[in-house]
Amino acid sequence: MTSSWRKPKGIDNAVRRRFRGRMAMPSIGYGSNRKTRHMAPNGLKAFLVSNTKDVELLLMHKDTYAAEIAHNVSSRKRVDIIARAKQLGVKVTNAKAKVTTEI
Amino acid sequence: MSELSDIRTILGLGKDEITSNKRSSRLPNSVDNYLRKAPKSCNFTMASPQVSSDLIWEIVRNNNSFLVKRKASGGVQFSRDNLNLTNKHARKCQWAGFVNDKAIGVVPGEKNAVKVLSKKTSAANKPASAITETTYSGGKSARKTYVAVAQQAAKSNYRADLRQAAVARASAIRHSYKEPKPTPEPKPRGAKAKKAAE
Repeated sequence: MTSSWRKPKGIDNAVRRRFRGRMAMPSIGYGSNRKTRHMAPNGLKAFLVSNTKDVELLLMHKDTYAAEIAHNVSSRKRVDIIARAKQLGVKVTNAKAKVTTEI
Repeated sequence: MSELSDIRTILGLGKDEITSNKRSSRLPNSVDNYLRKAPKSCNFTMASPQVSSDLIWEIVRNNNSFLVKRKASGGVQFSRDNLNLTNKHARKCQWAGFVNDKAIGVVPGEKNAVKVLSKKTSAANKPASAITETTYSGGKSARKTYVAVAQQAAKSNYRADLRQAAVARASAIRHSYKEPKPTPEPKPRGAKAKKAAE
């Protein structure tokens, strides 16, 4: 759900009247537990990194955050980031992207 | 009152602009709040002759050169500050070292060393010479390094929770010097495993 969502206000609106088969509206009940919010199935939250310095921020948070390399980082720099993350013991969520070659 | 006049000079304001009822619109909102009700000071004694660290924090907390903000994960904020032991962007009287008069930091040094930085309270208005470095070489045993770091943190009356964080960081830095274990070969599963067994 994007933040641009607006609650339907029309008098005849079927979604607003919660008819069967219509899309569900956001409600607080869909919220996830605060302890597990933003968490990936491996128990880590993602932190977007674009260089090795960003990875070093996670030195004391490797049990809470995993590094996620930004989409616009070249494969040459990805190798450096992954190597540094490995030294620090930081998990990289997309370590295989753009680095491995298809066999 | 002397502090108020200092703030005035720093912000480049006239004599009555702060104390008068009509507050200057040039003042950032946080400064205004500070002047209205000064936040409870942290444990540290104020040595800075210019401004209190609480005021500096109120000014720089939303944006500063160390701050790293991300929209993901509920808007995490980290700090690149060397005098921040956990890289958390938080005042909490201990993490935001660049704001405090008295701060301690642990950074990696050359040749597997661990460097402890500390800020001199006597040179609070000379940022370049305020930081002293102590290097614990990589040849020193881990336990001796941790004891030295802990003692350095304890001796100069830092908060007790900083001591724990300093040792934890020294340990993490030392650990990062180790040769990482090679990633294990992925085991073939399912159809690939059957094929490999043949």
